Amino acid sequence: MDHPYRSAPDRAFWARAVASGFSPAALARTSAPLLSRGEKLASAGSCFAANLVPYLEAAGIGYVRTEMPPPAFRDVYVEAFGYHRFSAAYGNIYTARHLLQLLQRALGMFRPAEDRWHGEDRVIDPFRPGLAFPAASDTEFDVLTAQHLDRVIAALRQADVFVFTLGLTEAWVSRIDGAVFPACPGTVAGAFDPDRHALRNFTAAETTADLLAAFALIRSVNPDIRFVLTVSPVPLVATASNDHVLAATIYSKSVLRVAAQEVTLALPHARYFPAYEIVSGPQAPHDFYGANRRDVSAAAIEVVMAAFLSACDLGAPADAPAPAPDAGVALSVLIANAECEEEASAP
Amino acid sequence: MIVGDSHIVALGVPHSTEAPPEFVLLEAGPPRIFTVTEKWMGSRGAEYWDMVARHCAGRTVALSWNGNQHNASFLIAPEPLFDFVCPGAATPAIHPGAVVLPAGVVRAYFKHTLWALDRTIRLLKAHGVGRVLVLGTPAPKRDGDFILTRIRTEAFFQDAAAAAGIDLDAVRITPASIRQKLWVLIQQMMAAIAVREGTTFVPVPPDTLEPDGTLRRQYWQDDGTHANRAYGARVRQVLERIALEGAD
Repeated sequence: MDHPYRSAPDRAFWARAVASGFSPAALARTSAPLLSRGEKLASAGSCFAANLVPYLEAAGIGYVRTEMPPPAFRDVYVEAFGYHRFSAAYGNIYTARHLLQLLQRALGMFRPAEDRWHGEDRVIDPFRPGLAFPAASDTEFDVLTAQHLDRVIAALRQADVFVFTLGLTEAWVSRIDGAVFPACPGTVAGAFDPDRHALRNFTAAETTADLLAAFALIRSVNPDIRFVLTVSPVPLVATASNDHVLAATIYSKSVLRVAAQEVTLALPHARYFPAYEIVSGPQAPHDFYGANRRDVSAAAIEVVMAAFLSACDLGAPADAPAPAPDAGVALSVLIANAECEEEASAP
Repeated sequence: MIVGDSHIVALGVPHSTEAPPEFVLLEAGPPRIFTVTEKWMGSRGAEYWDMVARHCAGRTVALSWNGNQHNASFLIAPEPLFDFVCPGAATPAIHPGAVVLPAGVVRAYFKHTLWALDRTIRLLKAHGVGRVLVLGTPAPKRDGDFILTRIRTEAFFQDAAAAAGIDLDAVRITPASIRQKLWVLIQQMMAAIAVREGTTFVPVPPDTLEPDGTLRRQYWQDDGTHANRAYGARVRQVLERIALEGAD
């Protein structure tokens, strides 16, 4: 008897593609390269996304950066929380709603009601609360923020491919207008006010809609840009959902995975890259997570990056390993893990 | 006493060719004005300040600290050009096309150029100084062409350019508005240190400044960065008023 499974490739069968013969490159393979030689890549996302950038650059991929300190200041202008790790200084972006909001702000479509927090001799950006050198006045804040938002659009205009790593579904938002904060107010900066701040746990439908809207906005400034979606395999450091953190994590990652799938099915120019599966799937080695079962190891990241690069057309043999990044990169991985705003929510 | 780095030459302290510092009477007055002379080697060392401390008891010390750090770093326009928001600057607007930095970053950059000022003040206080007056340093000169012509002949900048692999014939000068902001920031940093150490900051006389906050043409020394003796005389008038009247 004939049936569809008879003609299915090996990768469709667990026994042949996971229980034995597992290949991250085969898992990552897509119908078209994620990126081709000479193309430029911009990225954003959670702490996990920051880990990938040094590997991308070490592989010779043109990584877009529009907001780096001038050379004379690079020794003093040192930022934590990923502000200088991504294509522009937006830092870690954990949710699709936060990405959408950033784009709306940059395009002049949305101005949050709670757009700054005044401290002693400083004006804090609620959407970049960990900046090492906050503004000292409203004037300075407005100038720096305008420049930052301009650089965000500049980065998206320059890129051929935009990689977005989905991190969380839980977020703290403004009760006034729904503005999403990257960290619960009061953890990194600012003050928590239950009358002004509320928890949102975005659903699959909301995340999907936010991603579609965000990508549409990006395409409005760069009509030819392509997208790659990944889901961070890093579990939640904490949940405010009243659920057990493990259950909350699985729910969150499931939502994000569904949303990523929905978007890639809807958009011919969007692809999914299975970083989540490579690190957290049942086939993954135990040492892909550290002892706390949360920190993703350098070994895991190297496997993820090798698979990513194998799905790109960079002119190198498909099986060639990514160039080994230097010791500073491994340290950067550890620092990136340690310096999440999400980490700040754990007492 | 008038002591400190290179800008004290404008205040009448002669250049010295002698290496060991020497305590000398500069003017018989009144008031009597002393100084410590030492061959200028780019900065003052511990031996110089020890000599100052040894003779400062009961005296008013007018202290000129650095004052050229913004020129040493950014007289030549960097690539990319940067600017920052600086309260108190004569031209607040950001220079078109410049990368805007947080002022805190610029402050952090220059912090090391002032790191020993507070320690030096404490040294003088430990030796019974009567009063310390931390002097504002001359504002920058507006005319980039004037500066370029001079620095191309100044050994200090020639050496710095050579070390950095910079062709002085191909450079441009940082816009005056940005240099003026850097100068304002450094004056503010020195003033903050002076106040924190319980001393007095003496800003440059306002009448030595153009409306755009740069140094008035009549006070330019014929080099890239220093003020002349007429400027020094104006500052001395202020110092003498402070010394004689006890006014801050």
